[in-house]
Amino acid sequence: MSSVKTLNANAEVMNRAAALFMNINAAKGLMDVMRSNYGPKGTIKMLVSGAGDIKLTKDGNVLLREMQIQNPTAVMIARAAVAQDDITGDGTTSIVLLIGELMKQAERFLSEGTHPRVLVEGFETARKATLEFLETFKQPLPTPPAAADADGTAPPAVDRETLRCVARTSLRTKLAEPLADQLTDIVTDSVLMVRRPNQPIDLFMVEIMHMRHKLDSDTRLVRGLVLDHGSRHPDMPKRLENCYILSCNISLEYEKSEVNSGFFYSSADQREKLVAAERAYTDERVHKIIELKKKICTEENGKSFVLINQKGIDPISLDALAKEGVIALRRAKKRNMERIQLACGGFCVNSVEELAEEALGHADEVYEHVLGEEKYTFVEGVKNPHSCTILIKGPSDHVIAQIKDAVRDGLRAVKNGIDDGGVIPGAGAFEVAAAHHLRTVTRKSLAGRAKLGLDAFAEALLGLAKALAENSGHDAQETIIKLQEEHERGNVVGLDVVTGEPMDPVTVGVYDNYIVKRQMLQSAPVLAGQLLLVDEVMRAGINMRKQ
Amino acid sequence: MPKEIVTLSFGSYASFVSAHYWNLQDEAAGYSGREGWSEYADCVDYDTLFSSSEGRNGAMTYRPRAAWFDLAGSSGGASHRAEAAAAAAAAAAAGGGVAAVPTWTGGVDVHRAAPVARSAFAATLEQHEALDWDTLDEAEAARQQAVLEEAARLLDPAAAAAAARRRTGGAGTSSAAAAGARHWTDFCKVLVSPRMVVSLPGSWSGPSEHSLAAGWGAAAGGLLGGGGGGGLQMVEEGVDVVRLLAEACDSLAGFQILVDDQTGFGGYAAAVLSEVVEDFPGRPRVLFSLRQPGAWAGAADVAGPGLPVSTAQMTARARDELSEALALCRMSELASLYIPLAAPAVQLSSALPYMSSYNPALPFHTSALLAAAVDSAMLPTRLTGRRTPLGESVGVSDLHSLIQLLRPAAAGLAALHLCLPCPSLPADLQQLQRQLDTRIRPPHDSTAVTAAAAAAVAAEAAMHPRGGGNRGTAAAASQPRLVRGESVYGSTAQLTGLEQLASLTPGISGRDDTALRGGGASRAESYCLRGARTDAGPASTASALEALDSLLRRRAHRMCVRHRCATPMPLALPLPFPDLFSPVVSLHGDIMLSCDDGGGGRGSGTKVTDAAAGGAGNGLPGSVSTRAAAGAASASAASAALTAVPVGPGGRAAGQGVASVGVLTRLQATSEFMGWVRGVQARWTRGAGAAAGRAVLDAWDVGRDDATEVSDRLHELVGKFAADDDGNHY
Repeated sequence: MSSVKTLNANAEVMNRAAALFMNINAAKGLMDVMRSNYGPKGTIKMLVSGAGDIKLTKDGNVLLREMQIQNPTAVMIARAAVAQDDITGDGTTSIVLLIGELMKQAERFLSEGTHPRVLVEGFETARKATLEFLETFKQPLPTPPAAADADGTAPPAVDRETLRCVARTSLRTKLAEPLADQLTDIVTDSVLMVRRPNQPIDLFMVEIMHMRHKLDSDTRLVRGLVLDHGSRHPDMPKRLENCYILSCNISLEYEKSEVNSGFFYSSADQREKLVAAERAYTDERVHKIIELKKKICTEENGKSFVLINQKGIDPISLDALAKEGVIALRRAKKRNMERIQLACGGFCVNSVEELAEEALGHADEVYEHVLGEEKYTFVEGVKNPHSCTILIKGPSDHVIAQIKDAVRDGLRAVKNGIDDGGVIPGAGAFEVAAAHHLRTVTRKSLAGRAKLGLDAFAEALLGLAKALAENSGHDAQETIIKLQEEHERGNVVGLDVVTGEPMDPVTVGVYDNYIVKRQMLQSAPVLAGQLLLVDEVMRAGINMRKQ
Repeated sequence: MPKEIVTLSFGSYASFVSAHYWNLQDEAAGYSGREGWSEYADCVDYDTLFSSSEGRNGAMTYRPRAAWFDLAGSSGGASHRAEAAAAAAAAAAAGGGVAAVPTWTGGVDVHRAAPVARSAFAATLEQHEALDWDTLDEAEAARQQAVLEEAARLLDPAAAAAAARRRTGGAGTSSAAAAGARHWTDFCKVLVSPRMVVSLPGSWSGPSEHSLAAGWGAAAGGLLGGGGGGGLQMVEEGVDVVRLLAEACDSLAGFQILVDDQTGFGGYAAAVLSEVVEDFPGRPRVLFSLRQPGAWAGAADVAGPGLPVSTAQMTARARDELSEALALCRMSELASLYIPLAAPAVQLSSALPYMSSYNPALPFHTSALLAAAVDSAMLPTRLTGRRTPLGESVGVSDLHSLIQLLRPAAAGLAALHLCLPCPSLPADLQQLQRQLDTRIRPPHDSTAVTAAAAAAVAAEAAMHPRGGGNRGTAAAASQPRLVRGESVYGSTAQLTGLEQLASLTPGISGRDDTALRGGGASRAESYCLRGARTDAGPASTASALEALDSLLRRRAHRMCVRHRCATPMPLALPLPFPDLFSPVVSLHGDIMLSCDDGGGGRGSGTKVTDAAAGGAGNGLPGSVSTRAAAGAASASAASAALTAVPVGPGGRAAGQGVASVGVLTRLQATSEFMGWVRGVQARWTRGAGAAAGRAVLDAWDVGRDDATEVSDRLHELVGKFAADDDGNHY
């Protein structure tokens, strides 16, 4: 009888066996839900809402969010998966599987009377050993010969081919092959485009835009920007070529209505004058812009002028600009202002005094695209694109959403590849090799019961490879044996999901992110250990959830 | 001139209010195409709230400039996706074993939530969209309309249950029908752009039972990036939706925001609004803080002294108290005007004497009431100066000026008071004569009443030479004349004083007598009187304003800035508006005092008013107690009528709803808020000091520094009032 009971009669208490049972079951249950998603041959989940809306996902994180988990153990595991997603952008299914496998293996030993503490010690040793092994298993990105004209302004060259492989590996687990292969180049190129020397890669500079239009295979990379709004004046040109781009944060509307509130004027005449004066102030700014346009856009150079404003532009100002043949967009997204500078050059102007030719960017063409009630403006053909847009097209919202999720993960994978400076051969190769390493090398350096935990850990790692084989329709045990045999011959082997035979992931080009594996190995065993060491579950005192 | 107003609603209850609000807008806009009504409907500028765009085939579509932020699942069976039909087909195909996913070659697991049925109303409305009304013959059109009306009646849980009982003889009611409207989409009849509905992650089971219901900080983990994973993304998405709405405005006047700010939506809304404040400087934001009807009792202790209180109760109370303070602090900083709103919690209270079917337990009812109040209170900002046969709208204002008027008076806090339906205004002879002018025959004039008035005028004319009315002419003031108006023509309930305004802001009564007790005094007020009526029918705006002014002159406390607005367009009630009114309310919002049917005698009703008016005439002018008695008398008459007569004396058949009503609202910035803020402060200090409260704050990511900040801010708010009191003794 727990002493909590004497203090609070309403407290719920679970003893050690029940607590362990609950934890193990929750972990296994969560694993069972996610297991079939794992790998390029896993099933996709289609979630149909009460209203008939569809959500397609293979992303463990999305699934966890949609499932609205209540079980406290499952919530803990889901948090670990969310952290995994935050840090690496991928591997959420893997981490849930690894925790589940660890708990499953532990259950076997526990049922034979092993104390959880012993297992946890073994897990800890195994975790350290595996992380060390991961370092040796990592393959550095091949460094291509530096370009002849490298002058330090361009970021150091990286091996595009390896990064393509990383992107493809990630995308193929989320999308059908032809589409994944098409997106591979898009994703790789866009990350390489936004890279700048001596600065971390900012993936926000890759805009992901979507249009419900045509087919998913029409998805493309726009070297420039796509804005989700158009001009608000019927007479404005719909298309301009060879454009100066002015990005600014200047209000071009007559906004203050203080003059209406009555304290500032005594007659209607005076009021009119005040209104006119206010108006003149706005007009003045518009004229400054038009002056600049007239000065630099001449008949000879054939240039045209595009204004993208973060603030508003009212109809009178729009009218004045339209008369000059300027495309003017108002209320651009804050982040797009940053993107415009990176894509087109120039800088964002905050007051009319700063207006000058140096502030302007350039684009080969700017045009409007109307889709139903929505307008899009394309800014294409920019000089030095350090920002770009992935324009996703698809026949329906759920397909677009699915592609969007996959593209996000793909972008993260390429970024991780560059940041890590190395990759891990995929297709289960690491798991098989690590398990083998633990059993042959690490086990020898270990004495006593900790070996049990080590064995459980090695078996759990193999569980990931087994899930891969199972999902691809092969016999898990047989495949694993084949892989292990091949590995013992000293090769790095992964699973060919099509044939079920061992293959070399390096020649096929299946690479995983180093950081994904590392994060998974760091957090999964720790959490599994914590769950195993729970010997009492209490629910007392404040219940935060309003029931 | 800035004009467009963007409406944002954060929260599930807010969605309800917003849906009702947009139904009211849609109905009013629809009146502009109706015969006889168009002149009146045109005094409201619909472009302020609706954006229009031309579709591919040249047809204009009108979309509300509004966004809904609510939990996933709250929109029920309505899909906001444009290709819902295609999606449903794909889902069905996948369910049948066919892989219908073009983007995946492997297997597909289908997880299907139990389908949520749409309401009959929403379904019928969609069918009607497809109908070609021009080709239908009259009988068919009428039949279709009847179907829609029946479906609309099912939305009201009370009415639906009654209807089901009637039909089945009390047994075997289908639960779906009796449940009434569960989701805001069940009764929202405006077309909402799918992009403008933002679904936040969470679970939802009712407008006040959802995963964010547990106080201000309930969103701290999932939505605001505390727990990581897509949190800030939701805020960014919210800001982007606001930007898109603003982009469509030529000259944005400001925002009106409905928030359940005592729940987790408050935290989310604050995150979005702080970005909005930065992006749109100088654009006023009117924020309506929505509370549950029970919030009236919030100040009182739940359990009496000495009774044991469970931990759960303690926590719940701490949560409510802390939410209130946090919401007040954060939101009053972000909003230009902060208006706490809660529907009255008592049925048939003296506050709402003509709302017999009002049920405070139904969000469908309470939200409708709040929507009507918000709509009318903000009406002055949306009016055009257009002339109508009843005169042009008086007191047209704009959002900026309205806020400039109210904001400085009470630290940006304001209360909202409502009179729905607004009883008849006292009318003078001249006015009645004018009403009889056949050239002015407004569409909401009921001929029966006009005839009665004609008779009354004749009677008055006959009386006049005999000196009966001398007192009125001698006094030459409005007051005795009003009294006489009542006594002679009182076939309808009269607006006898501004005490008849019901307070929708918990804790702010707005009554004069509290001023006498030192509770507070009104500092700035904005009245809006729409569709005012007299005994004889719709009143002209000039005379409505005059009558309102004479009532205002009777107020004990006069030192305050006032803005009055009168407009001839009444509140047009859409089909899905619940029929809250008692049977004494006529089709166009007259409150008939007579218990007999239509045209006959005005027997008992007249007697009641005679007595009351006599009292008022004999006693001190403007005596509160007599007027209260009159109110009580008419209320009792109303309830008597209610119980006795199945077909109301208002001349409405049992099933027929009220089409339009006059409404009087008052936005009031009053020093009563000082006491109110003090109350919040006291509860915050008590809550944040206790262990339970501290635990709640920790769970909400509100650190000790933040807590100190809240205390300081509350102190500052109270200080503002105190300083004003010292400085401005008028």
